[in-house]
Amino acid sequence: MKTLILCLTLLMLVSGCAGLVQDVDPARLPKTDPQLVVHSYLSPQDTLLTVVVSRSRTSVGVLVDSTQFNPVSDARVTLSEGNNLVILRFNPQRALYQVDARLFTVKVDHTYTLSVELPDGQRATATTTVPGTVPTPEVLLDSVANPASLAGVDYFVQLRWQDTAGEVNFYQVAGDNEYGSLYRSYGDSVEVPYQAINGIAFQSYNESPFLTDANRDGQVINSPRGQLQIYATTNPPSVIPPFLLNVYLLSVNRAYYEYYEMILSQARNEDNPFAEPMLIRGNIQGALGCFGAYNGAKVSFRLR
Amino acid sequence: MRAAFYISLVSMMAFHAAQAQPSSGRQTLSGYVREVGSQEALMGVNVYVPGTTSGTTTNTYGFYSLTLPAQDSLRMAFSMVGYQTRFCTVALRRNSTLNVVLSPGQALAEVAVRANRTDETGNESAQMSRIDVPVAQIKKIPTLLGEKDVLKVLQLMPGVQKGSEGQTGIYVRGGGPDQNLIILDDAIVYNANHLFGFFSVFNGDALKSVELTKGGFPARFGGRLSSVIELNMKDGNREKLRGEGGIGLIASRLTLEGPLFKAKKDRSRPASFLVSSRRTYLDVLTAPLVAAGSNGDAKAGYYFYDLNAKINYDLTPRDKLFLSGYFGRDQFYSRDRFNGSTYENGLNWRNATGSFRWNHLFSGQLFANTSLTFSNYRFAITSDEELVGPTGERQTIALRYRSGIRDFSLKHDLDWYPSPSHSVRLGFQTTYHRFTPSALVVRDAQADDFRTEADHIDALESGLYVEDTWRPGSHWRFNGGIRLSQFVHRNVTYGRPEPRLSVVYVLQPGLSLKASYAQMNQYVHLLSNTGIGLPTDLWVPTTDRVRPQQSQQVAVGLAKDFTRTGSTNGVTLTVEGYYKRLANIISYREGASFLLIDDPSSAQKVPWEDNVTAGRGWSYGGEFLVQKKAGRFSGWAGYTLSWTQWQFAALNEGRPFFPRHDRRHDISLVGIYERSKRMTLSATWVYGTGQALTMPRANYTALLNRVTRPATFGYVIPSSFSNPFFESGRNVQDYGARNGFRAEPYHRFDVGVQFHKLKKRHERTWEVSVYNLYNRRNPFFYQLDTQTLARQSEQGQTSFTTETKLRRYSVFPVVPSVSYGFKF
Repeated sequence: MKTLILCLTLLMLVSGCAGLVQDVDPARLPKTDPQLVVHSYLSPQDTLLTVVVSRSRTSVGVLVDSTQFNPVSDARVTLSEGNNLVILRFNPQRALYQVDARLFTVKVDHTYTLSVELPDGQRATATTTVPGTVPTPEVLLDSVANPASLAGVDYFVQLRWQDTAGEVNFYQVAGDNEYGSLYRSYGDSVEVPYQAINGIAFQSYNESPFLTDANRDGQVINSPRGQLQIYATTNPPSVIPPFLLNVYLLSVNRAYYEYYEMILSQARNEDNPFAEPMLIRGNIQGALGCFGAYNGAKVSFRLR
Repeated sequence: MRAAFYISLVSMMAFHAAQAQPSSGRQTLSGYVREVGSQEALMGVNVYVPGTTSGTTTNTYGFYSLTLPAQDSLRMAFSMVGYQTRFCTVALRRNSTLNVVLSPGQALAEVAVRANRTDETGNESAQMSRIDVPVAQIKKIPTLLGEKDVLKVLQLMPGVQKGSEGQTGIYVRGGGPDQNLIILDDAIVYNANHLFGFFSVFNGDALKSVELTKGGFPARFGGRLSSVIELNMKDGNREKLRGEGGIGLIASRLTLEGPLFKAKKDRSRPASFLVSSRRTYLDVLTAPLVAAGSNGDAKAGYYFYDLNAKINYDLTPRDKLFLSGYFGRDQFYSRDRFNGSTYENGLNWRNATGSFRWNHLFSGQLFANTSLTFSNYRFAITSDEELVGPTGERQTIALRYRSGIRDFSLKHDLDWYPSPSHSVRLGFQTTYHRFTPSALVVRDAQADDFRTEADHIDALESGLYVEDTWRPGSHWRFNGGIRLSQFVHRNVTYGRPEPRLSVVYVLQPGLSLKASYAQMNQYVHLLSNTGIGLPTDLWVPTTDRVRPQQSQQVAVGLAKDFTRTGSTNGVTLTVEGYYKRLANIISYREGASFLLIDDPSSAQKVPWEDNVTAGRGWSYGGEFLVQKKAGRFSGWAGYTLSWTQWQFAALNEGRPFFPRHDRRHDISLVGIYERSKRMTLSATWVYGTGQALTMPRANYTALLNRVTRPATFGYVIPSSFSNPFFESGRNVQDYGARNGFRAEPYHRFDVGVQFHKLKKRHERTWEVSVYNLYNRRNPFFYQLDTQTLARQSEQGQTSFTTETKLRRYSVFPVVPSVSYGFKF
């Protein structure tokens, strides 16, 4: 009996937990050819209309670049509204299809069709409707003294607007701030004046820059508070006012809003192997991606 | 009004009992059946008149009642698996009481042991889709780390499936783990898991019986869609102080039971008690390692314990009182010191149940039980930080997150036996639920900020039922009934009738055809986005937005005993087919997460009702079971062929999909061989189709619209695509269809051997077992892992490539274990 127990103890120690993680033949995964991926966002404010066509990457195997984009350059890409059709040409420098907005005017409340055809007959289509007039936001500024920050003060900005009653609305808020700074290259003794631009972070935990009027139709909507991002490379830091602020309120359509929400949601759960993953579905038939539309209002001002 | 109705009803039944007899010349024989020695009440004992169709079975409290024509000499038989059949001859000239004791059959003397499906009333009973596994058999089946587990043994039965490797979650006929009504002495157990589901909370030493009903539910059960798992604790030995215990690799256990108070003459002791406890000592074993690894600055560990206790007392020959309770707790803790600051974190969950039951015998034909029960499940995360700043100032931050459910319940049941062909049961149950989906307490002492956000939801769930088991002749058995269920939450009331029917046609003795229909409603739901039964799963009520879940199940089957009277092999065959429809089942929306484990405070901002979506499901399949419950060689072979599909408008683009627990084939082989009085050998082999999981089939760069001007400083996500019209892309996964990936099949072989020895004052058992003998690496989950590889060219330039592999993560390789048990 004692020998038996000793043997078992040894067996347990030897077996240990070695080999509990093992590679599996990737052929078990659902088989698929590279998928067509199409992205385009239309707006009446655009000066250039753009469509990006690419292909998906394999989920297993070796990649030279994990962000390898795989652009597709030989597609026939068109935008149309009824009989009005325009062909977008491929721009190899930007890896996208483009057309001057003056050749195809994008208007509020109009519905447009995007069509992508490949030489092998593969085809993707989608429609999108440009949202109505975007409300003009009221901009609220706030500052909190913070000796630890570069400017000595933390600046915050918040947008407030009146939602249009009786319709479903989706919004995006965004912003950037510009400030003067000095830049010194590594090993260099000369500081060069430099105009810095940073995005304003309207996103914090549980607060998204994407909003809906669900349960608050027709009410006044407050955006999350956005903090101005200020960086400097010099020591002591040199940040030179004034600050130039651009804040944007975008009225976006459902396809745009839902695509963004799905992407953010997938990212939230990607480290949890037990969570049900978010399946991202765009609004394009025959392709992954999104054909969205938005209408923007921009407020610019200087902060002294 | 209700009380008046009840008094009238009971009076009517009692009057019937008193008046019906003289005219019909019938008398009632009733009493209790107990185990010899311990005086433990025996449930499910077949009580019958040999050679006739007259018979019944004892109820949960060991009570039986048979009303038969008056006669001078009536020969009665009492039989049950694992016990010697006892025959008694009585004169039935007036209503009589006959209490009987049965002796456990000698395990090796097969002649004395008969399986309960083999006698005249067993397999011909009106009930179908019911499985009971003798607790003695459960104790002989090899298990993980030697910890005997009732729920894991139930998983070895056809129609019952496990979730992930090593987990106690139970999936019955396509239903989820929340669709099982788990009741311990009439009290609902909401979370039956220890150690994230690797062990169940039920301590086999404290249990008397375990019964699982998969379909054909009698009307007395309600509140869950897929199964009823009814567990009863032992009452405690009435004659002697007895003990049982064991020392295993991770836990030890001890049970004491014995009589209380002095016996009155010619009677057994009026009361007995049972106390049983179990505790793990992983924390004690690992403490020196943790301390050594951190120079004594860190402490971390895990333990669970549970405690069962029961007292019963015979107040009068007609009144019996039972008080029982369960308390169990799991605790993870860590404490760390760094630069004078201390950080303490904890994660714990606990279950408590309590039952007070009163049996009252109105007459030999009318038995009543009243139960007051309590159940509480609570989960908590705690975090305490005492931070010391550079100048010595101290700041304390405390966070408590809690969720849970608490029930108070009143239940009253009447068992009425008006004639040998009818057994009527009726009663009601009402439960006051308090749900706490989340409660958050945050304290920041320096800011003098103390914040509590609790979110209680109260609801009342009730059920009223009546059922009759009718035996119109030698061929037909019916169990028909109806349950009226009601759920009240704020100003919303749901009321649903639930018809139930089981029919049996006895083709010939020992061979019967069965069919059943049952409609069930479920008013409490478990929200889980992990599928593995973490304690973070939330119980939530039906509301105006979340409707009750509903199921309808039709089952047909055949039951065959291969035992003739007097034979010894006790082999039974059951073949059943079922079709089940589920409506309004709920699931998290895709990507929704109510509680992020790494940041529990985030739970506050997400109303749970916004995160769930309702759909429907259906499941069908066939089950095959050959079982031998007693004898030198016992065990069973089970096979299930089944399909389960769900369809939700908001999931998988509205298309049907296989839920994670859909399992095409499921095989279990269990064998126990009593080689000699000193040695028991056992083995199990299980096989199951892999789980349906969602895995990425490809990934791509999702481009977002650029709104602002490109940043000149700050972190920029690297991308090979960059232009002024789009934000830098995000890498996203293309999963294709939901659960489109099938995991590899699960299979495992376990073996065990027990060495028994009778010592002077006690019996000891050494058990050696090996879990997963052939070291199968069963999948626990899969993940895509990416590694970056650097390559140097001949010119000395370094280039980087990435390699992504599909990896399987397993939990248990071959796991041998040894344990020591004793009994006195």
